[in-house]
Amino acid sequence: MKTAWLVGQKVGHFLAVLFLSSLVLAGLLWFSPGSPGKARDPMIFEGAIVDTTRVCLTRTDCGVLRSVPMTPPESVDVLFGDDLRSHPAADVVMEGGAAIDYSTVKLRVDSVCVGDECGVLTTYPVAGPRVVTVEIDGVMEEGRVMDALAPGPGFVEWFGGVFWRGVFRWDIGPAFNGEPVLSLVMAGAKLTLPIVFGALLLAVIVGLLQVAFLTWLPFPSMRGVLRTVMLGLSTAPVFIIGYFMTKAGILPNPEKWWIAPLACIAILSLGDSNLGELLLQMEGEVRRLRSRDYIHAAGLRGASAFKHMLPGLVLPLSSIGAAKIAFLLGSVVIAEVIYSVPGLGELSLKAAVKPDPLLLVTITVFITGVVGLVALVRDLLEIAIDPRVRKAQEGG
Amino acid sequence: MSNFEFKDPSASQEPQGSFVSRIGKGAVKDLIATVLRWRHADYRLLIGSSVLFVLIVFRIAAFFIDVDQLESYLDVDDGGGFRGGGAAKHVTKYCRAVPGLLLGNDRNGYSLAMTIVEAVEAFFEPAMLSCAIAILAGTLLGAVAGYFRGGLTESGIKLSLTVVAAYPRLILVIVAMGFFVAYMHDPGGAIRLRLTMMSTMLGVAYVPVLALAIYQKVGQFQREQFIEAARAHGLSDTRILLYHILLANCAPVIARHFFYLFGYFILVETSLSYLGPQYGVPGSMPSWGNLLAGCSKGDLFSPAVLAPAMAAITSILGLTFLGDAIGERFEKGRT
Repeated sequence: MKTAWLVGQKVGHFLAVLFLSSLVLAGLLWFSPGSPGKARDPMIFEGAIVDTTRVCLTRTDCGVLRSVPMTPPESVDVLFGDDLRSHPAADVVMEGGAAIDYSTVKLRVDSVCVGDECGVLTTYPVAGPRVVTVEIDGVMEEGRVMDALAPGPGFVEWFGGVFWRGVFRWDIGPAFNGEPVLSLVMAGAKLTLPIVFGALLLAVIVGLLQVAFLTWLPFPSMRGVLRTVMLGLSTAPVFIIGYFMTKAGILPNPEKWWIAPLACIAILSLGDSNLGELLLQMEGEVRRLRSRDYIHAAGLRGASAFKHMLPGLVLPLSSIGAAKIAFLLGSVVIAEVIYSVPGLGELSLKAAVKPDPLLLVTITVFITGVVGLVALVRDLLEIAIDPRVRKAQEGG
Repeated sequence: MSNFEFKDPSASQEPQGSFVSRIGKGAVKDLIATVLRWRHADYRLLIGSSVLFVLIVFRIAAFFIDVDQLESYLDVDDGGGFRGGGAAKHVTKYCRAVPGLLLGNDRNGYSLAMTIVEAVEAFFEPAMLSCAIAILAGTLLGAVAGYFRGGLTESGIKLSLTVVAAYPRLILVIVAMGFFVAYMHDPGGAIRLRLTMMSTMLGVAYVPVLALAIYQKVGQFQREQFIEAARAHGLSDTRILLYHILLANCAPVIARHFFYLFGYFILVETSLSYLGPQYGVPGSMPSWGNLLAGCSKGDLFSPAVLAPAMAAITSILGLTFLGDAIGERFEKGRT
């Protein structure tokens, strides 16, 4: 029961962090020029109620609709078959005899009549633009009806009703290229996540081998030199390693599709200090474990120290890996662009340039979710492996 | 056996007192002496301080360099064969060795050595801004959470830091560019805004790292006797936190993270500039990233390729070494 409560706490923390990170991101977006809360669609006055409906005169200036004065139309052009004639607006009625509502009538579509003769409207009344009055922050402002915009959704409405509801319904909306945002993100994730986890795995394996080699090395003075050389190599930015690899002939090949992801894994695991930091952290952990009494005792009995150290390394390694995932998910952007891998990284750069804020928010929330999920798995692993965590919970 | 123990006077210079007070008592002299005493010096301190010195010199030199005013050594084909665009006697193609020019010329035909020096402008001030943001916010949040433990303040700060730490740093920079810079129609304004956004976002993204380090340090110092003595003397929490803990004892931690973030900023700026002018600094402004990208079709081992790459690697490595060395040297025995 206590363990279940502990697991529940960790899952709750993960969900809270995911929700809050998306909230912060949405808040940042809200104050940006591309905010979805800003007016962008033309206002449809059908059904608008004076003193109640909100109308925007520009993308940011919105207020309450106070009046829609209809300028009396003077004349309109009506097309009778192939014959275009101008008539006084007062003489033109809808087919059936009803008066024309010029705010809703469709040009060249709706049938209008002058006497017994019927045709279609080709122009709106020429009396000039109709004017709408809107009260913005207590000041009455006038604007043209044709320029009026419908106000965007409120923050809560967009964040809860459009974004998160859309996520659960699997339909947030289209991206810049017309494809559904969530399909694009999932397609990108299928490429990016194997690259990132592959790079982490490769870095951990190479790091462990290096640690084993450094531990075995009989010349202590050489360890520092080798460690510095490895750190120096690892400090190279991903783009420089990628550049040298492309120069060395490791190029994306449509026939050998696996070359580009493998090259991304290689440069990600080595570059941006990823390997160097992992090496230092793992060496520290191994050194710490080697100084423990039970490892000494195992050594004295002639048992394999490595075999006894391995269970003790699982948790530190998972912690190091969980901390590294966020960093790798950032660096993968560079690697994917260099090798033209259409993953999340390349997609995020495209979304930033277009710009497509909705796609950008979705990608970032997805990545944040992955980072949080890895941390959650690490926490659950700790609960499962380390009895001290469970005991601490039981002890209050 | 005698109890007498020989001590090498040159090797027993373990500094005493606080970091700040030592500055007045010859910390700089001690640092220089350590660097000069190469046999005993920490090689990381030596490399790191050299790199920092060179970067500062480059930045000062960049104030006086404007590559656009320099002579261009680019080929011009006027129908009568190739000739030097700026100087007919130096007939060459771009990104190649040129007689009389150290490292040859760059993608635009200008002196590569001069351009590499001027490229320091692309990251120096923005990196300082980024560090300032991270240090101010990180120190404040870490110190408050560490000092006022066990309450809502600590929980709130820790949760907010966890939320920020969940964003990958580079992704946060890209998000800010997509939200704010992409809508700018003025190219000059967009450049400034992009660099400011890069600085701000990297600074904000680094806040959790620094705050966690300060949080742990403050937690450790709270149990120290000198803090209890300060409390017993009736000093206020603010004075104890700001002076006795942060200023006197956390300065090395802050300095270490300053250099880490400075190096990381160079990494991000050069990486984005390499990808293209729409992501990093524009083509009109030299950066080690776009210098490498501009000459990417050149020979692999030509100076035009190796020089900007080595400049970036050496700077990042040097600053990381400096951070490590400062951390180990000045934080030793402070926990």
